[in-house]
Amino acid sequence: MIEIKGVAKWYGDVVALSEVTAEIGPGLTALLGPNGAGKSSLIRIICGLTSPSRGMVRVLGRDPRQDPMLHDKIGIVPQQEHLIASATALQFVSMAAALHGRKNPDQAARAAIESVQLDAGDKRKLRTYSKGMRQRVKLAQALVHDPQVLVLDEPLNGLDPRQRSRMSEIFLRLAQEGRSVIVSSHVLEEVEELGSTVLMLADGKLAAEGDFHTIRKMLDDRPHRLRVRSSDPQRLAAALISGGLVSAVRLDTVGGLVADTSRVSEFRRGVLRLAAEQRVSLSEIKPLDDDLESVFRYLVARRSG
Amino acid sequence: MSSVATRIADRRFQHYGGVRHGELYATLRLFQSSFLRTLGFGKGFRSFVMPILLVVISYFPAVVALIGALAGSPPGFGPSYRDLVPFSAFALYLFVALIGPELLCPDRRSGAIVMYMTACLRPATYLVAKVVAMISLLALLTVGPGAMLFVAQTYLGNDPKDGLEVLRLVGRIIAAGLVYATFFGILGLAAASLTDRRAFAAAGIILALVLVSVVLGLAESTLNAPHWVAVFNLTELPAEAAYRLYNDFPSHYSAASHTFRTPQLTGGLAAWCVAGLGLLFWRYRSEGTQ
Repeated sequence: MIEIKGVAKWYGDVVALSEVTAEIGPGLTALLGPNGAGKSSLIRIICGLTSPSRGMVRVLGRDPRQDPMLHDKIGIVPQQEHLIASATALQFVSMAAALHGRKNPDQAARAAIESVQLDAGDKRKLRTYSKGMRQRVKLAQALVHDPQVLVLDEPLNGLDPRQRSRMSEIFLRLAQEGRSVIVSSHVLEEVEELGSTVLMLADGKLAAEGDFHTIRKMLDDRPHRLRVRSSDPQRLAAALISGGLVSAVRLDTVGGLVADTSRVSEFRRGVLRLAAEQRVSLSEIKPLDDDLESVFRYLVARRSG
Repeated sequence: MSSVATRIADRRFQHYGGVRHGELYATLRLFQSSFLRTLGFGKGFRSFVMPILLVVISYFPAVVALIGALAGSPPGFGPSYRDLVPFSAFALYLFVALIGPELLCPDRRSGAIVMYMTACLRPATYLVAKVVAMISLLALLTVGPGAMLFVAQTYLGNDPKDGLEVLRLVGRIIAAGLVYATFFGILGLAAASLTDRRAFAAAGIILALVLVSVVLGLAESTLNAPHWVAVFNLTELPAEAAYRLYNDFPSHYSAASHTFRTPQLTGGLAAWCVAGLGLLFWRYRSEGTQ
């Protein structure tokens, strides 16, 4: 459905995207990357809201920049609030339906609002809605013209786990209907339950793409650094080295040890076993480089290496 | 036992295979929505208060004339078309400053403009819908009272008897109202395009109107500025046009006010409108597309 070939985008001296090539088919695709990775730029290019500085994008075989009528096939939920606060959900979504040329905008709006599990008859203004409800109104607005491609920029941002789960269910359902649904996020765990295809961006480059679980495993297999606090760090360090669970270990100044390992799952299991054998009590096992920034940095380094 | 067949209604989202209208339809719907929402429709009772107040101010002389006519007043009763101008102008200034920015500012501030730009609209068609909505709203305050006075004058028997004269008068009423509405509609939206905050836009427009009038008044009265500086007088320029169209000047109008020839006056008005449109389109040239 979406073909991205050698796309680069720069704003003055700032490079937002660099040589990104990918294909996005029907179903759910998570666009992952830390803040500033270029996710929003890629989304804007896919939706025809900006041109790539180099490369090309085709959506359903058409150029989104040259073909305004392609907007009929694309629904977008921008990251920013873009609701008319003084309108009701029905008024807002109905307006979106009319702007997309739907014949019976009110009827289309009611169906779209109900499809995101909101009440189309709700007379309250949008300014009174919770964050989760507002996100669903935005989704209804993007859905109301029945697009084949649905692009959602950080739709799960700021939602509580229950709201997130509810939104994820809706995304999955929309993908099952044959649409291409792209969900961007900067939080890996956020898209975990979507179990989707993943495109990972870092520093404007494509860092990884493919099945989420394969990438997750790849991330788990990278070298990790963990701090372990215990009642006897020296004895535990010696046991970890002799057990072959670490590639390096050093004692830190605050009663713990810092271990480097490339087999993090095995390490976690092994350290518990060794601590019990050595009669050492553990008080903390904390990853020191598990934030997304370092994950993405690793993926970029691995890719370019 | 009930004979009604049991069925489960499918309330899921249905794919749409019907007609999809294009850009013109989207532009018209945006115009319609902007027009109605600016008047207060769909926003609760309080939103109607200011538009109603301005309509009352603007229509006051025409309503007096109409009531007088219906009450059997003698011919010659009531205001002339010229007398409508200050009332309409005052209501129009307030509308442009206090309500007009509503047409542009919230879309940018709320980010709703993204929704328009990802529909069948472009910045140009978005602005066309907004400008036409603004001019139509202002025309309610400028053309409407003239039309009502025309009805009152006809009832009183003061209207021209010749068909051509009637047409000419109607044309003048519409033209005078549209000149005012177009001039202030475009400039008001151009000013509002500079900010996404309604309050800033309102303050800026009021300040601009007051400052221009005061500075030009001082320049003309005490500094003996050349007459052409009057082309910068935003309040006098359309008023002069309206009086000329009615061919009826108020007594306080000095000879100095008539220094423009009609082409110069028309050129001045047109130059302001072109500048306003230029600013407006420049501000929105890449809206939602950068």
